[in-house]
Amino acid sequence: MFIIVNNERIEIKFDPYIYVNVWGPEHFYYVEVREYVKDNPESKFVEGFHFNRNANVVKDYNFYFFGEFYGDYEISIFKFVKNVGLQKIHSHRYNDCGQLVQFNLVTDNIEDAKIWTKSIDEYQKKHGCIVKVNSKFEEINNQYSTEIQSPYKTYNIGRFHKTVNDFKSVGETRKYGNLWFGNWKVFWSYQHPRNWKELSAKEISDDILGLS
Amino acid sequence: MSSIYSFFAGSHSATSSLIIDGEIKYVIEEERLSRIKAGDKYESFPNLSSSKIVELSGLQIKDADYRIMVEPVPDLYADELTNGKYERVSHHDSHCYGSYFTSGMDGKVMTISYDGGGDKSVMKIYLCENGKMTLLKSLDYSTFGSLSHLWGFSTTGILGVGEDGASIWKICKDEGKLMGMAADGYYDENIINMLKSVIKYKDLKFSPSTTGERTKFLMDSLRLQGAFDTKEQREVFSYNLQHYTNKMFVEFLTDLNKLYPEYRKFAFSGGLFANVKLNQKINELDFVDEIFVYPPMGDEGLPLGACIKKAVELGEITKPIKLKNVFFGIEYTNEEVDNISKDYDFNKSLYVPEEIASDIDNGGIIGWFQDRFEHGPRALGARSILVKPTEIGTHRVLNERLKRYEIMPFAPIVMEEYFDEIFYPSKSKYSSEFMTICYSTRESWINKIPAVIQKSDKTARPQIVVKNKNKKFWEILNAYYKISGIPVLLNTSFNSHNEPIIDSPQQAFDTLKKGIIDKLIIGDYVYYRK
Repeated sequence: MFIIVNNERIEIKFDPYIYVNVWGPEHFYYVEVREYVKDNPESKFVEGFHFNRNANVVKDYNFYFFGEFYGDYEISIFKFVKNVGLQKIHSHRYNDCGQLVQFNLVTDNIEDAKIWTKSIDEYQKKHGCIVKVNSKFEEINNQYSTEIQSPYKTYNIGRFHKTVNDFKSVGETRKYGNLWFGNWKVFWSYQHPRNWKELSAKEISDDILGLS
Repeated sequence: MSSIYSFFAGSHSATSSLIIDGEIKYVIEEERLSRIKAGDKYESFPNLSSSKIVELSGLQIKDADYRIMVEPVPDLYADELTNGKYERVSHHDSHCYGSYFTSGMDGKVMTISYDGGGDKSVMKIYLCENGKMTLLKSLDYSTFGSLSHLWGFSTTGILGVGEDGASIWKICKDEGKLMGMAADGYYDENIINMLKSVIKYKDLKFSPSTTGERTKFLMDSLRLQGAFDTKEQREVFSYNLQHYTNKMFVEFLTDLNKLYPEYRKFAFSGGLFANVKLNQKINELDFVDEIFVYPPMGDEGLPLGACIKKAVELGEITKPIKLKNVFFGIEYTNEEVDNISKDYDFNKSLYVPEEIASDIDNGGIIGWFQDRFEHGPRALGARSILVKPTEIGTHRVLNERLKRYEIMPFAPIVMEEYFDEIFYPSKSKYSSEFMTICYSTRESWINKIPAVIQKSDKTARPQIVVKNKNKKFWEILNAYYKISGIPVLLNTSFNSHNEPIIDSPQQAFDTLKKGIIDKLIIGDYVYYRK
């Protein structure tokens, strides 16, 4: 999804995770990801990223944010204007209404898959999106066929084990070294909001799709 | 009656503390022993300080009645340190309990902590009375902006990074340099507008909650446009940063006062309140009767606050106390000092205050090493360097010897009896025993003590010295007063620039050997080069 705002060309994608890029005449752009949480009108800061295209400090051209589970994210892009400071040049809030949303059911168990489709149906009703499902079970996949190819967002639904990189997440401080001082969320990897081992199949999919 | 260990680990300002039966036994910052300043090491652990307290107290950590880790907690390290037996205490509760229960304040007290973040909060506000604390607000990191981050990332951004890729000035370490420069700047509406794009205040809320990242972006952009190339540019930016900070926080406190007008005493903690110029503005407000700034206001003060919280829960501390001092570190006996001195070839004589006062009056730079070292960022009469306050030229000599930046002002110590004659307003004097607030200097004294007065705004950050709390420190002041008619000395911390305040006699003797100081007073003796 490219957007042209004045002299800036902005690309924002949510599939499979948040991706932002900005091209324009400035050396610097700042991207901020915030999240709206249920029953709270205030958005919470999630991540900030600095595009730096200074010829002498060439680094980081793209911003990836591995928020693969559902989040009501708002992405804002700022540039610096002399005597004004940070000026917002574009803002986009997650909105998959009328868009294709793809769900990959990661399970060999058809009972799990059936339960998860209930959450998918709830998600579709809530968001007004077009749904496509990929699973090992044709009878489930066929219920959600569509000709549209390019998804706005893809969700993987399953039970995902922690990896060695999965330390920066909600409520997780079990670490020897340097600490994070309380960000709302810092998803650097595939993290369940709650420990899936203690949840039912429905609770797992509801967590992933923000229906809890 | 209980023994309580507490630790802060895994971040800057690692510290260990021990309270036994409600009495503060030891508080030691790791930097004093590791000799690496807290701001220079962001991932630090209280290994040396915890071992030292065990050695000095004879109480093993496992044998204490309680072991407390202050949030955020690095679990694996905490398990190792405590054999897995510990309690967690909230970061901002530790700040708040520390400040309220050492404030000595009776009646209604509003206690506020504010920093860059800890256990998902940037601020907590407690309403306190008669030793009871009631939480009014806890403001979370992800929705509430942080003035501490505004300062921290302005500090790192103003000079950019050095050849090693690290910022030249560091967060949690060099903010005072901007505060020092601020007095020499002037108002610039454009800078204020740019700061407003980073953080604003309205209706008891600082927002948005991305102060650090936004400040970084603003500072990088400004710096690469050449906005900090000159000393004057940096001074002007710093002035407006201080001005805007003061304005927002005063508005915030004024709004709180409208809701709770019966609260006219305030206890503060958290890194923001290391800003003595902000503290001055607060202290000058009409609705403020008294403020108290927790002497170890930054995260180094967390373990003591956590110990105090536990002692309060156990009923071993029941009401706010007044600290006699913050000398909670390591002490060295005369015998130990004497033994160490044998490694050096110095002259030694008995300390006579009048003789040293005369040396000071003649321009001598005197190292002062007494008692246990201080807890917190200020040298308060245990590890100090004393110089006469009457000549501005002292700055150059001290800066050269200590390798300090010219922009960092020096602070005075003043005899309690003469404070009101020299400084105003006459408020919050207990807090100023710990050098936590700036005051205005009376016109008649500005030219008498120029070395300890900020040249531009005529303010100073005095430490009030009380005779019955630190007799020896008071006596040297008194001896100098008898010679000069000036009840004030310049007191700077006993360390070279970028080093933590010294701990041991060896470090003091080394300083004498290098010629940084002219004479060294340790205990009852004076040491000087042959």
